[in-house]
Amino acid sequence: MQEATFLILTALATGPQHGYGIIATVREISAGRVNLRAGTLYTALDRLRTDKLISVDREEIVDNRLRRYYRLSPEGAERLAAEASRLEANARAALSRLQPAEGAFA
Amino acid sequence: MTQVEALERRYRRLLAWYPMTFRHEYGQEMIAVLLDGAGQTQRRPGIVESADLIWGGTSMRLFRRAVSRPSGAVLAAVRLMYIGAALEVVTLITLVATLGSIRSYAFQNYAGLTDAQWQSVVMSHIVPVAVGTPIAIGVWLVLGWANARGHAWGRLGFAIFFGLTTVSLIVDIAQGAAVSASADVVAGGLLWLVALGALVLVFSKRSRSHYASRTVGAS
Repeated sequence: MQEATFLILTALATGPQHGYGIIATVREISAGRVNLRAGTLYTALDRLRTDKLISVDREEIVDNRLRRYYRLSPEGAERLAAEASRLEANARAALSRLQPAEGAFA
Repeated sequence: MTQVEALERRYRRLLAWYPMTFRHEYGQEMIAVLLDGAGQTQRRPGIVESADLIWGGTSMRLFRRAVSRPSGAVLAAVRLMYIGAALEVVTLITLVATLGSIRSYAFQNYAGLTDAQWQSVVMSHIVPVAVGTPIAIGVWLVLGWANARGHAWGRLGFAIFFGLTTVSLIVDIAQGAAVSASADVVAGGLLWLVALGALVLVFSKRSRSHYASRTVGAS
Protein backbone atom coordinates (compact mmCIF):
# COMPACT_ATOMS: atom_id res chain seq x y z
CA MET A 1 0.00 0.00 0.00
CA GLN A 2 1.35 3.43 -0.96
CA GLU A 3 1.96 5.92 1.82
CA ALA A 4 -0.61 8.39 0.44
CA THR A 5 -3.25 5.63 0.36
CA PHE A 6 -2.36 4.56 3.90
CA LEU A 7 -2.63 8.14 5.17
CA ILE A 8 -5.95 8.77 3.38
CA LEU A 9 -7.44 5.63 4.94
CA THR A 10 -5.99 6.68 8.31
CA ALA A 11 -7.57 10.13 7.96
CA LEU A 12 -10.96 8.49 7.40
CA ALA A 13 -10.57 6.04 10.30
CA THR A 14 -12.08 8.48 12.82
CA GLY A 15 -15.10 9.40 10.70
CA PRO A 16 -16.28 10.76 7.34
CA GLN A 17 -14.37 13.67 5.83
CA HIS A 18 -14.58 15.78 2.67
CA GLY A 19 -11.71 16.26 0.20
CA TYR A 20 -10.13 19.32 1.74
CA GLY A 21 -10.57 17.85 5.22
CA ILE A 22 -8.65 14.74 4.14
CA ILE A 23 -5.79 16.91 2.79
CA ALA A 24 -5.62 18.82 6.10
CA THR A 25 -5.77 15.66 8.25
CA VAL A 26 -3.10 13.89 6.19
CA ARG A 27 -0.85 16.93 6.60
CA GLU A 28 -1.49 16.86 10.35
CA ILE A 29 -0.92 13.13 10.93
CA SER A 30 2.24 13.16 8.82
CA ALA A 31 3.49 16.18 10.77
CA GLY A 32 3.51 18.33 7.64
CA ARG A 33 5.63 15.87 5.64
CA VAL A 34 2.88 14.79 3.20
CA ASN A 35 1.03 17.57 1.43
CA LEU A 36 -1.53 15.91 -0.85
CA ARG A 37 -2.48 17.78 -4.03
CA ALA A 38 -6.01 17.63 -5.40
CA GLY A 39 -4.96 15.56 -8.44
CA THR A 40 -3.21 12.95 -6.31
CA LEU A 41 -6.05 12.88 -3.77
CA TYR A 42 -8.83 12.29 -6.30
CA THR A 43 -6.86 9.70 -8.24
CA ALA A 44 -6.46 7.82 -4.95
CA LEU A 45 -10.11 8.34 -3.90
CA ASP A 46 -11.33 7.02 -7.26
CA ARG A 47 -9.17 3.91 -6.91
CA LEU A 48 -10.23 3.35 -3.31
CA ARG A 49 -13.90 3.61 -4.29
CA THR A 50 -13.35 1.14 -7.12
CA ASP A 51 -11.71 -1.25 -4.64
CA LYS A 52 -14.64 -0.62 -2.25
CA LEU A 53 -12.29 0.44 0.55
CA ILE A 54 -14.15 3.74 0.93
CA SER A 55 -17.61 4.97 -0.05
CA VAL A 56 -19.54 8.22 -0.24
CA ASP A 57 -21.12 9.11 3.10
CA ARG A 58 -23.09 12.21 2.07
CA GLU A 59 -23.03 15.31 -0.09
CA GLU A 60 -23.52 18.92 0.96
CA ILE A 61 -23.61 22.22 -0.89
CA VAL A 62 -21.49 24.85 0.85
CA ASP A 63 -21.19 28.32 -0.75
CA ASN A 64 -22.73 26.90 -3.94
CA ARG A 65 -20.01 24.27 -4.14
CA LEU A 66 -20.29 20.52 -3.85
CA ARG A 67 -18.75 19.00 -0.74
CA ARG A 68 -18.74 15.21 -0.70
CA TYR A 69 -17.88 13.26 2.42
CA TYR A 70 -16.15 9.89 2.23
CA ARG A 71 -16.14 7.17 4.85
CA LEU A 72 -14.05 4.09 5.44
CA SER A 73 -15.83 0.84 4.52
CA PRO A 74 -15.52 -2.31 6.69
CA GLU A 75 -13.17 -3.74 4.02
CA GLY A 76 -11.15 -0.50 4.14
CA ALA A 77 -10.87 -0.67 7.93
CA GLU A 78 -9.73 -4.28 7.66
CA ARG A 79 -7.07 -3.44 5.06
CA LEU A 80 -5.87 -0.44 7.07
CA ALA A 81 -5.58 -2.55 10.23
CA ALA A 82 -3.65 -5.25 8.36
CA GLU A 83 -1.29 -2.68 6.82
CA ALA A 84 -0.78 -0.91 10.18
CA SER A 85 0.09 -4.28 11.82
CA ARG A 86 2.53 -5.07 9.02
CA LEU A 87 4.23 -1.68 9.36
CA GLU A 88 4.29 -2.02 13.15
CA ALA A 89 5.92 -5.45 12.91
CA ASN A 90 8.51 -4.10 10.47
CA ALA A 91 9.22 -1.10 12.70
CA ARG A 92 9.59 -3.34 15.78
CA ALA A 93 11.94 -5.64 13.92
CA ALA A 94 14.06 -2.70 12.76
CA LEU A 95 14.19 -1.15 16.26
CA SER A 96 15.00 -4.42 17.99
CA ARG A 97 17.83 -5.09 15.56
CA LEU A 98 19.16 -1.57 15.98
CA GLN A 99 19.20 -1.64 19.83
CA PRO A 100 22.08 -4.08 20.41
CA ALA A 101 24.08 -2.30 17.76
CA GLU A 102 23.45 1.20 19.12
CA GLY A 103 26.86 1.19 20.74
CA ALA A 104 28.41 0.42 17.40
CA PHE A 105 27.03 3.69 15.93
CA ALA A 106 28.06 5.79 18.93
CA MET B 1 -14.59 38.63 -13.93
CA THR B 2 -13.48 38.39 -10.29
CA GLN B 3 -10.14 36.97 -9.22
CA VAL B 4 -11.79 33.79 -7.90
CA GLU B 5 -13.73 33.29 -11.14
CA ALA B 6 -10.54 33.72 -13.17
CA LEU B 7 -8.75 31.17 -10.97
CA GLU B 8 -11.68 28.76 -11.22
CA ARG B 9 -11.67 29.05 -15.02
CA ARG B 10 -7.96 28.17 -15.07
CA TYR B 11 -8.53 25.19 -12.82
CA ARG B 12 -11.35 24.02 -15.10
CA ARG B 13 -8.99 24.18 -18.07
CA LEU B 14 -6.56 21.95 -16.20
CA LEU B 15 -9.34 19.51 -15.34
CA ALA B 16 -9.87 19.03 -19.09
CA TRP B 17 -6.88 16.66 -18.85
CA TYR B 18 -9.16 14.20 -17.04
CA PRO B 19 -11.58 11.89 -18.88
CA MET B 20 -15.14 13.16 -19.15
CA THR B 21 -16.57 10.47 -16.86
CA PHE B 22 -14.03 11.38 -14.16
CA ARG B 23 -14.82 15.11 -14.49
CA HIS B 24 -18.51 14.34 -14.30
CA GLU B 25 -17.96 12.38 -11.08
CA TYR B 26 -15.40 14.59 -9.31
CA GLY B 27 -15.06 17.87 -11.26
CA GLN B 28 -17.24 20.12 -9.03
CA GLU B 29 -15.76 18.67 -5.90
CA MET B 30 -12.19 19.08 -7.13
CA ILE B 31 -12.81 22.72 -8.03
CA ALA B 32 -14.10 23.31 -4.49
CA VAL B 33 -11.02 21.64 -2.96
CA LEU B 34 -8.64 23.53 -5.27
CA LEU B 35 -10.27 26.88 -4.43
CA ASP B 36 -10.28 26.04 -0.69
CA GLY B 37 -6.56 25.40 -0.92
CA ALA B 38 -5.76 28.51 -2.98
CA GLY B 39 -4.17 31.56 -1.35
CA GLN B 40 -6.19 34.77 -0.87
CA THR B 41 -4.35 36.61 -3.64
CA GLN B 42 -3.71 33.63 -5.91
CA ARG B 43 -4.63 34.32 -9.53
CA ARG B 44 -3.14 31.29 -11.23
CA PRO B 45 -2.69 27.60 -10.37
CA GLY B 46 0.82 26.93 -9.06
CA ILE B 47 3.35 25.00 -11.15
CA VAL B 48 3.41 21.95 -8.86
CA GLU B 49 -0.39 21.96 -8.62
CA SER B 50 -0.74 22.22 -12.42
CA ALA B 51 1.76 19.40 -12.96
CA ASP B 52 -0.13 17.26 -10.42
CA LEU B 53 -3.44 17.82 -12.25
CA ILE B 54 -1.91 17.20 -15.69
CA TRP B 55 -0.25 14.00 -14.47
CA GLY B 56 -3.40 12.90 -12.64
CA GLY B 57 -5.56 13.53 -15.71
CA THR B 58 -3.20 11.75 -18.05
CA SER B 59 -2.87 8.72 -15.79
CA MET B 60 -6.66 8.57 -15.41
CA ARG B 61 -7.04 8.60 -19.19
CA LEU B 62 -4.45 5.84 -19.60
CA PHE B 63 -4.87 3.62 -16.56
CA ARG B 64 -8.22 4.28 -14.88
CA ARG B 65 -9.84 1.01 -13.95
CA ALA B 66 -13.48 0.37 -14.61
CA VAL B 67 -15.73 1.19 -11.65
CA SER B 68 -17.07 -2.32 -11.88
CA ARG B 69 -15.00 -5.07 -13.42
CA PRO B 70 -16.80 -7.19 -15.99
CA SER B 71 -18.07 -10.45 -14.64
CA GLY B 72 -20.56 -13.12 -15.62
CA ALA B 73 -22.56 -12.16 -18.70
CA VAL B 74 -20.51 -9.04 -19.57
CA LEU B 75 -17.23 -10.90 -19.23
CA ALA B 76 -18.53 -13.63 -21.56
CA ALA B 77 -19.72 -10.96 -24.03
CA VAL B 78 -16.36 -9.21 -23.98
CA ARG B 79 -14.58 -12.52 -24.57
CA LEU B 80 -16.87 -13.17 -27.55
CA MET B 81 -15.98 -9.72 -28.93
CA TYR B 82 -12.28 -10.54 -28.70
CA ILE B 83 -12.99 -13.91 -30.35
CA GLY B 84 -14.78 -11.96 -33.11
CA ALA B 85 -11.64 -9.84 -33.61
CA ALA B 86 -9.50 -13.01 -33.73
CA LEU B 87 -11.81 -14.58 -36.34
CA GLU B 88 -11.53 -11.44 -38.46
CA VAL B 89 -7.73 -11.71 -38.25
CA VAL B 90 -7.94 -15.34 -39.41
CA THR B 91 -10.22 -14.26 -42.29
CA LEU B 92 -7.77 -11.57 -43.37
CA ILE B 93 -4.75 -13.88 -43.20
CA THR B 94 -6.64 -16.57 -45.15
CA LEU B 95 -7.63 -14.07 -47.82
CA VAL B 96 -4.09 -12.77 -48.28
CA ALA B 97 -2.55 -16.26 -48.19
CA THR B 98 -4.99 -17.78 -50.70
CA LEU B 99 -5.31 -14.88 -53.14
CA GLY B 100 -2.99 -16.60 -55.65
CA SER B 101 -4.93 -19.86 -55.42
CA ILE B 102 -8.26 -18.06 -55.89
CA ARG B 103 -6.89 -16.42 -59.04
CA SER B 104 -5.62 -19.76 -60.45
CA TYR B 105 -8.93 -21.44 -59.59
CA ALA B 106 -10.89 -18.67 -61.31
CA PHE B 107 -8.83 -18.82 -64.50
CA GLN B 108 -8.97 -22.65 -64.61
CA ASN B 109 -12.73 -22.87 -64.12
CA TYR B 110 -13.87 -19.87 -66.14
CA ALA B 111 -12.28 -20.34 -69.54
CA GLY B 112 -13.32 -16.98 -70.94
CA LEU B 113 -12.13 -14.94 -67.93
CA THR B 114 -9.96 -12.03 -68.98
CA ASP B 115 -7.45 -10.07 -66.91
CA ALA B 116 -9.77 -7.06 -66.99
CA GLN B 117 -12.67 -9.13 -65.63
CA TRP B 118 -10.43 -10.57 -62.90
CA GLN B 119 -9.35 -7.05 -61.95
CA SER B 120 -13.00 -6.07 -61.74
CA VAL B 121 -13.73 -9.02 -59.40
CA VAL B 122 -10.73 -8.05 -57.25
CA MET B 123 -11.88 -4.43 -57.01
CA SER B 124 -15.51 -5.25 -56.30
CA HIS B 125 -15.12 -8.22 -53.92
CA ILE B 126 -11.60 -8.69 -52.61
CA VAL B 127 -10.48 -5.10 -52.00
CA PRO B 128 -13.58 -4.23 -49.90
CA VAL B 129 -12.90 -7.28 -47.69
CA ALA B 130 -9.17 -6.45 -47.43
CA VAL B 131 -9.98 -2.87 -46.40
CA GLY B 132 -13.06 -3.64 -44.31
CA THR B 133 -11.59 -6.48 -42.24
CA PRO B 134 -8.88 -4.43 -40.45
CA ILE B 135 -11.56 -1.81 -39.69
CA ALA B 136 -13.83 -4.55 -38.33
CA ILE B 137 -10.96 -5.89 -36.17
CA GLY B 138 -10.55 -2.39 -34.69
CA VAL B 139 -14.30 -2.08 -34.07
CA TRP B 140 -14.51 -5.47 -32.30
CA LEU B 141 -11.55 -4.52 -30.06
CA VAL B 142 -12.78 -1.00 -29.24
CA LEU B 143 -16.28 -2.27 -28.45
CA GLY B 144 -14.83 -5.08 -26.31
CA TRP B 145 -12.80 -2.52 -24.36
CA ALA B 146 -15.74 -0.11 -24.00
CA ASN B 147 -18.13 -2.82 -22.81
CA ALA B 148 -15.57 -4.19 -20.35
CA ARG B 149 -15.37 -0.70 -18.83
CA GLY B 150 -19.14 -0.37 -18.68
CA HIS B 151 -19.52 2.46 -21.23
CA ALA B 152 -23.17 2.66 -22.32
CA TRP B 153 -22.05 3.81 -25.78
CA GLY B 154 -20.16 0.52 -26.12
CA ARG B 155 -23.39 -1.41 -25.78
CA LEU B 156 -25.24 0.85 -28.22
CA GLY B 157 -22.29 0.76 -30.62
CA PHE B 158 -22.30 -3.02 -30.52
CA ALA B 159 -26.04 -3.11 -31.36
CA ILE B 160 -25.35 -0.92 -34.43
CA PHE B 161 -22.34 -3.06 -35.36
CA PHE B 162 -24.48 -6.19 -35.08
CA GLY B 163 -27.06 -4.58 -37.40
CA LEU B 164 -24.37 -3.86 -39.99
CA THR B 165 -22.96 -7.40 -39.66
CA THR B 166 -26.46 -8.79 -40.26
CA VAL B 167 -26.99 -6.66 -43.38
CA SER B 168 -23.56 -7.67 -44.68
CA LEU B 169 -24.34 -11.37 -44.15
CA ILE B 170 -27.73 -11.07 -45.91
CA VAL B 171 -26.06 -9.36 -48.89
CA ASP B 172 -23.38 -12.10 -48.95
CA ILE B 173 -26.01 -14.85 -48.93
CA ALA B 174 -28.11 -13.09 -51.59
CA GLN B 175 -25.07 -12.85 -53.86
CA GLY B 176 -23.75 -16.22 -52.70
CA ALA B 177 -24.55 -18.29 -55.75
CA ALA B 178 -23.00 -15.80 -58.14
CA VAL B 179 -19.79 -14.50 -56.61
CA SER B 180 -19.15 -15.46 -53.00
CA ALA B 181 -17.33 -18.62 -52.09
CA SER B 182 -19.23 -20.80 -49.63
CA ALA B 183 -16.30 -20.48 -47.20
CA ASP B 184 -16.86 -16.71 -47.18
CA VAL B 185 -20.53 -17.14 -46.26
CA VAL B 186 -19.62 -19.70 -43.58
CA ALA B 187 -17.04 -17.31 -42.08
CA GLY B 188 -19.61 -14.50 -42.18
CA GLY B 189 -22.20 -16.77 -40.51
CA LEU B 190 -19.77 -17.75 -37.79
CA LEU B 191 -18.92 -14.10 -37.07
CA TRP B 192 -22.63 -13.26 -37.02
CA LEU B 193 -23.30 -16.00 -34.45
CA VAL B 194 -20.47 -14.71 -32.26
CA ALA B 195 -21.89 -11.18 -32.55
CA LEU B 196 -25.41 -12.43 -31.75
CA GLY B 197 -24.14 -14.19 -28.62
CA ALA B 198 -22.32 -11.06 -27.44
CA LEU B 199 -25.37 -8.88 -28.18
CA VAL B 200 -27.71 -11.10 -26.17
CA LEU B 201 -25.25 -11.09 -23.25
CA VAL B 202 -24.64 -7.31 -23.11
CA PHE B 203 -28.38 -6.64 -23.19
CA SER B 204 -29.25 -9.34 -20.66
CA LYS B 205 -30.71 -8.43 -17.26
CA ARG B 206 -27.55 -9.63 -15.52
CA SER B 207 -25.44 -7.03 -17.38
CA ARG B 208 -27.53 -4.02 -16.35
CA SER B 209 -25.73 -3.30 -13.09
CA HIS B 210 -22.34 -3.26 -14.86
CA TYR B 211 -23.42 -0.36 -17.10
CA ALA B 212 -25.40 1.37 -14.35
CA SER B 213 -22.38 1.43 -12.01
CA ARG B 214 -20.41 3.36 -14.62
CA THR B 215 -23.09 6.04 -14.79
CA VAL B 216 -23.73 6.62 -11.11
CA GLY B 217 -20.36 5.62 -9.68
CA ALA B 218 -19.78 3.11 -6.93
CA SER B 219 -20.64 4.40 -3.53
